[in-house]
Amino acid sequence: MIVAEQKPLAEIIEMVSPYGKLLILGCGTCVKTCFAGGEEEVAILASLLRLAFKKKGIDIEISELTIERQCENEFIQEASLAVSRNDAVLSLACGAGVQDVARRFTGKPVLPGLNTTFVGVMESRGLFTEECLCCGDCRLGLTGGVCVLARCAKKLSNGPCGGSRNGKCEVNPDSDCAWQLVIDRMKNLGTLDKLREYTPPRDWRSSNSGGPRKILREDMVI
Amino acid sequence: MPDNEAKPGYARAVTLFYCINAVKSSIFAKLEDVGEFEINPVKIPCSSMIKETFILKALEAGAEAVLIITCPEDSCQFIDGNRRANKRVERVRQMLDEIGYGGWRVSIHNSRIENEDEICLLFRQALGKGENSFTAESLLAGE
Repeated sequence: MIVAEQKPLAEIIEMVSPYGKLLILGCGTCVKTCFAGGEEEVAILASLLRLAFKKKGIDIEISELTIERQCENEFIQEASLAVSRNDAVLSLACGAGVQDVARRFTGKPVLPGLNTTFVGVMESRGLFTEECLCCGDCRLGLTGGVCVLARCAKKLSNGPCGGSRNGKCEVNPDSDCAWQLVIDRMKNLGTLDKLREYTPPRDWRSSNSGGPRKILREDMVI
Repeated sequence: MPDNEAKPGYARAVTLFYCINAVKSSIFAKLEDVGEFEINPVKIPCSSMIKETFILKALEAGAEAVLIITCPEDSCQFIDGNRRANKRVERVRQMLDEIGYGGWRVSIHNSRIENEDEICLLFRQALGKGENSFTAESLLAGE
């Protein structure tokens, strides 16, 4: 899932202060799962903003709505009425969601309430870790299902570097050494010998370094 | 001054969320006689039911302070209920401080309340700015 975290409240307050009517628009998919942008977080932020503006003596009308996904036009349309009634939208979605809502409502300012951080998993309740860089050339099959690009601090395709201690990364001792995880996993699978094979350098044109990427599924286009 | 700062001569509004296992409901009948506070008690089956939005909505509705009373630590019938409540309260306090509304407005108390004197002391402390790390026992003992 896409993992995000809420922007500092001071930044949000400054961003929304020019508007008299504000819609806080939540997203009910990835950012809800990472406790950044679902109904609950929308309600909390709305209350906090009301209290903050009340204290400042500023009159602001804040409404709340959460849609299933802000990155799909079908769901965004559900917010049309609410958006039309407000001066601006504070989107609690990832960067893609904010942009898609802005594209749909060209005449309304759409402001980001979250900082989109990474693609990751919920390792345990409340702990989210980065697992994928969206490089566009997945080689998880070569490394036992552990992404060395996302999880190795040095992004080594042929590891380990030799700097890890007790299975922890020398760059950040709080993180597991990705190559240690690869070795443990491949040992379990009985495929450790495969690590002797050299992995050639990656062609980064498949990543975002080659510019914004597009995928076209001709069979889905009508 | 925020609207929910009580004016002189008026009872000060406090919203109380309490676990049914931590406070005897009979206390509230006696509290009506005190008249010092306008108390809005909310009975909950476990303090884990407390959500950040409940606390914030209480403040939005005009409470000057919010007090949460949970069972003592390690004696929650649902194992982690009071620990969850403590963490959520801490989060709300941080956010209220961040917006300058005063995290002191939200207090949590982790022990059983037996009589109205204890709870009145907690209300007074909840309404006093700053110190929140107190127990009814320590207040009664004058510590």
